[in-house]
Amino acid sequence: MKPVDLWRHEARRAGLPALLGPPVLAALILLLAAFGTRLGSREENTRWMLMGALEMGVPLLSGMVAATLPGRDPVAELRLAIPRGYRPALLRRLAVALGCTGACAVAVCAALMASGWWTFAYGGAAGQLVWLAPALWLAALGFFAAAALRSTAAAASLVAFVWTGEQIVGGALADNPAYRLLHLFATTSWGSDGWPVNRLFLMSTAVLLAVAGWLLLGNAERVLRGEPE
Amino acid sequence: MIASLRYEFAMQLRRPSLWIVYGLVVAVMVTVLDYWSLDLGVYEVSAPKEAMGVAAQIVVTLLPIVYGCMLADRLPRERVLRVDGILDATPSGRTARLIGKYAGVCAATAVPLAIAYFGRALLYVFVEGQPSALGWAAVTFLASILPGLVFVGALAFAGPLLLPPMVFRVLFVAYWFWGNVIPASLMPTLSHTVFSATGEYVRYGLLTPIPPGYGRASAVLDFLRPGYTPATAWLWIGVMIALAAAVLSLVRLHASRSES
Repeated sequence: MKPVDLWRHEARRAGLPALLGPPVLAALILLLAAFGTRLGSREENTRWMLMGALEMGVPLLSGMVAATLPGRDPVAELRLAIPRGYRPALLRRLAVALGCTGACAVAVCAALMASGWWTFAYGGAAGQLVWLAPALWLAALGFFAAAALRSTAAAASLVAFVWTGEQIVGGALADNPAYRLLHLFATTSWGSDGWPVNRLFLMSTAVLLAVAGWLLLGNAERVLRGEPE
Repeated sequence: MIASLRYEFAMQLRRPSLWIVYGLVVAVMVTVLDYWSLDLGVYEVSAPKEAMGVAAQIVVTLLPIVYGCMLADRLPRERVLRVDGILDATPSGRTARLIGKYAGVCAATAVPLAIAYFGRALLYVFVEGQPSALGWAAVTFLASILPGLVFVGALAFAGPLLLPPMVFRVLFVAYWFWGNVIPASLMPTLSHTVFSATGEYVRYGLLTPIPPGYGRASAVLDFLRPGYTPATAWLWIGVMIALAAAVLSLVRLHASRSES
């Protein structure tokens, strides 16, 4: 089997919703940028919502995708028995789905920067961290929770709770130095103050979560004993 | 109906992941949020009635997310496991089975939520020495939390019929945030209207006075936000139950169409 066939197979396993969600979100963001003023939204409000959609919408999608994809193999016994292993296949599947999300987010960022909607202090490549850091963190959380709890519903619930909870407590915990490091939506909540450190901390903790999930998925018996439907 | 209710209730209640997720979420609420102090930096909570109102507000803002996501995979389950044909061949009626399944799943998924809420009430009783808190907690739960759960439960129960579960969960979370949590002045939204599931109308219309400083700027869809009065509180309860019945009727219609 050629590598391209493997990738094509995993793209099909990821499913249409995981691949179509990001372009739909990107289209909605661009439509808001184009017609927001005509809909009666003030410029500042539209700008905040565009950044919000990028910083909150993209991570929600990637977190849910990462929480859903590991638990969808009806013949996991077979996949675990093949020499190339289950984990690389799963990684390919996640890479396809998250890659699609990332490509759409980069395109939206470029469009916002080119059209003058982007007034955030960090632009260009560093500006991509607006969506990349929270998206990676929530995806890593979803991946880890799916591996640890072996239940898609539970992993998705955790991602959903963290996503909503972070929006609600962002304002109340603005003075807590530990929370400032871990807040997912620092761009839209607090602006550029301490932003690079927050992004770096999110990315490094995301790596830890992903590695923990990877190690858990290495235990074939654990994977097979997933929660019954 | 009773048999399917009991079976679904027991099955959902025995899911370890249900308890693990609720446990983690409540642990976060206790450590990060002011679920102990109940003042949220805004309220002055001196009477048990107000304290239970604030506890209800915290619980109902955050926990229905878990409630909805955890019960979203229950309805398509029979089709996924390919046992729907066998169940259809049993003498039990489809409508009775649907209602039993809905009631059982929702009741079981609401059990940890109720434990979190009544646990807080019990703690209040011991710390403050005011046993009336338990009574107020029961009234607040029945009048202001339960109707919202009835509607959200029907929505999360039915949603995966129309959409793949993953898409539904994303949209459900987005709906919860947009339609129940955000300030009304931010964008056109259902939050703070009689269609929002957070039970605000009962809390402020029927149970406790509106907290000082709880003002609202004028916003789009304000015609859906009548003042907090006992009449609007009852209207909200009616709207929630009617919406849940409408959603379940649609599910039943969908099942009848796929029968033919």
